[in-house]
Amino acid sequence: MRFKSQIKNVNLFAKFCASLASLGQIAWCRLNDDDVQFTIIPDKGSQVWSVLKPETVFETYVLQSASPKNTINLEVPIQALSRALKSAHGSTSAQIRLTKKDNVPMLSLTIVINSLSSGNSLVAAPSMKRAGGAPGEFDFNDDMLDATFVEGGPRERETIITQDIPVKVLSMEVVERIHQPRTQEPDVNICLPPLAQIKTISDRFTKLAVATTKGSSSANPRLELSANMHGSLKISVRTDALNITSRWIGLVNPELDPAHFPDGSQGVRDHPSTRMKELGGPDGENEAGWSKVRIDAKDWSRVLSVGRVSAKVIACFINEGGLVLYVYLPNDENGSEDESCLTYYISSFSV
Amino acid sequence: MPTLLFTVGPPGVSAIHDLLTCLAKFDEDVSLEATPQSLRISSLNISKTAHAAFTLDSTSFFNKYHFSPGPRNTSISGPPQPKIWACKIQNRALLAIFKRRLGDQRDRDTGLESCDCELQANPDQAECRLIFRLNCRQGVVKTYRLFYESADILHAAFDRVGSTNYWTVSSRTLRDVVEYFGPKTDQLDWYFQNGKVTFTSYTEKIQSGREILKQPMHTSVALERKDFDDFNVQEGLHIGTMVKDFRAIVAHAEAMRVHVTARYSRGNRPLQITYEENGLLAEFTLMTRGSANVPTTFNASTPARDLSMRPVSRPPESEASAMAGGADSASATAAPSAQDATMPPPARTTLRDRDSVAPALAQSNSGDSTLAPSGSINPNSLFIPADDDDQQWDAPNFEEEPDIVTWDNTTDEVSASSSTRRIRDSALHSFASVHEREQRAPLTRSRFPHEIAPTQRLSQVRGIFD
Repeated sequence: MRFKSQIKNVNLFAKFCASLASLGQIAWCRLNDDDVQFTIIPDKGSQVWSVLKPETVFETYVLQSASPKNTINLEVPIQALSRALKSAHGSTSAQIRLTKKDNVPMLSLTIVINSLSSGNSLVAAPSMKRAGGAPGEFDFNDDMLDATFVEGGPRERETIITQDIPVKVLSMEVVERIHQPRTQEPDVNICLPPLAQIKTISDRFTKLAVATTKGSSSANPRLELSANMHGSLKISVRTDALNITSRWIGLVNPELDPAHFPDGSQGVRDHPSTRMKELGGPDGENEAGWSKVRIDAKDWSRVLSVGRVSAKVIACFINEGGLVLYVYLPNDENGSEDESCLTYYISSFSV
Repeated sequence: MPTLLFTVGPPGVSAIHDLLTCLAKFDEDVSLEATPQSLRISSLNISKTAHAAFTLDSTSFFNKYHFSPGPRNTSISGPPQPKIWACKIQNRALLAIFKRRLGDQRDRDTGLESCDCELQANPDQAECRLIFRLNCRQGVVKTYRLFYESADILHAAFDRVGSTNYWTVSSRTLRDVVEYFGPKTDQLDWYFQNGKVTFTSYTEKIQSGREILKQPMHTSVALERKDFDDFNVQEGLHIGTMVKDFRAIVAHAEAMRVHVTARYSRGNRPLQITYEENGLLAEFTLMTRGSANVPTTFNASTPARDLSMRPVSRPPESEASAMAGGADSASATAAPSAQDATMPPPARTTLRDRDSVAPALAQSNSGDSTLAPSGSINPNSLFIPADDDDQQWDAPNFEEEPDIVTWDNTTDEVSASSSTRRIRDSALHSFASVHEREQRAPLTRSRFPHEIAPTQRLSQVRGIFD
């Protein structure tokens, strides 16, 4: 069993992990030849399923295991990983690999930081050539100290940091029963405005709701989110004392791609969202054209922590059922069609 | 009736705030000790594994400083007045006076101009107080009267000469290291190998199963030797201490922007971290943990250094009486001459002894001329002697013996400072070194089938008889 990777975009990876970490302590991480998946299913609250294309954050991606597609399943304390990646901020090089220390599997992050460095690294390629580790074997850690360093370079400081995060290896049997939630087709799809706006307003509403219901109810306050197929989104909070709504207009409702439906454009025409658009009337103001969910305000705030990756977000409303957020990670510099995406499943409460 | 008066300006007040904040991370009480030369503020943590002391120089730190221990007690042969005055105060009370904002000069209207401190300790007054007066602009004066508690102050003695490993580095570098550590780790370890100094923070708690995921990160930070200003460390020697203490030290050092020096001999022996600026000397004496993978070639690998420390030529008798705190030998002139011979049992015998103890107190010591070829005996050792030292069965002289075993620079007249007890330690007393000596010198077999590890310091044991 072997996983080793040079991290290319350590800041994005750190932000990605930090977003996940706000939802739960432990992530299920599935590595295989195609992609890297991180999933968090907390006991309570929203779950997130995310897919990273290796090239989004990794420069090199070496994976070896006895399972099909070289799959490795891990349980990762995501907060520790996020913290470790944060310490790689400004690093010259960051490498992550699966290793074993004292019989405990670890994700070991090796970070090289050159201060006063002008990007001209002094580090020669660490002597990583090993006699091909057999699959099933761990990539044992010979301390980074045996890396070879070029002596006599300009006087700059080089610091090597290793962060070892204990992980647990999961067997295929354990994970094969975990399934991504199946949801019905959404009634409304809408591109959200910048999450910073949504978070500021949502948090403000939550505070007001907490302040005005103090003592009367122990439950977390709830926010009502609604959207229509005419580019409008509303966030409202309702308590005995107040009723506030914020409304965004002029948002984009992404077009459905007929290629995604077995019956092509007919599928698009039959789709609930097409019907919702009609129900909205000519100006979209008809009440019937709005799809509505009621969500836990504090949980929503944790979900919105994903705003730090500054990504494009599409919200799919299932009327009175739930909300699915697709958060697309920023494309890399090649502008390639990036499929790295986090999917949040947020369930709606009944009135 | 001691007199203590001092005045500090705003920078000094800031410095006192900073050091009190640092001491607060060790213990909730601070000890004050005044001598004519300096004021010493220190804390010892509750487990007595970390001692932090700040010595403020009377001339370079204070604007004004005056201390006199009071008139000599001329009356009938009472005990001589101690030459120092010492007390204990809650750190909280002092921090409430030396607030962070005080040193801030931006607040022009009510800014602080100076701070006076006066000790009111007259035998004819019912209440003894320590008075702090903050003189602010516009004639505002804030006065604080603090109760204090007289106390026995423990000093940490450190064998500087025996601690041949040292490094000096800027506080910024250390701060950078500490910043990488995970928040919940408790242990710190460092060692030098292949031109790299590696600091590791980890947690020892062994967890298994799902709990393992809750274990904090294991972080190691490797620095190059050239990041250090001064460096002389045995390769491969691991030194372990507590992250929390180290963090507290680094935070204070970084506030002062100083260069920090660490000295140590080996694991399980004390480590001292020092730095000094503007008349403030900080000394942190920390207990360390050893590590199983310490190379055994301890002496062999550092011959040159040992050589330089070695007294040129001394008769073995004087070595036998060399005091544990060899580093402090310079000031320890008034050594307990004859008392030494009647010191209670425990003896210290190590090989290192001969190599590294400074020519400390070369006065005669009768009893221990039965030197083993490879070792000498320190009558003050914490450890049970390994050969037939008959004195150990004698009753110690409780009256005459001050419970002092080593001396340091701050106390010039040792015999008078009987209120000052100290935690004695040096590289030379370790159980390990006794053991090591035993291995090397099978002639001096222990009378005990197994060595008994120390469980308590002798000074503490004797405390109940005081």
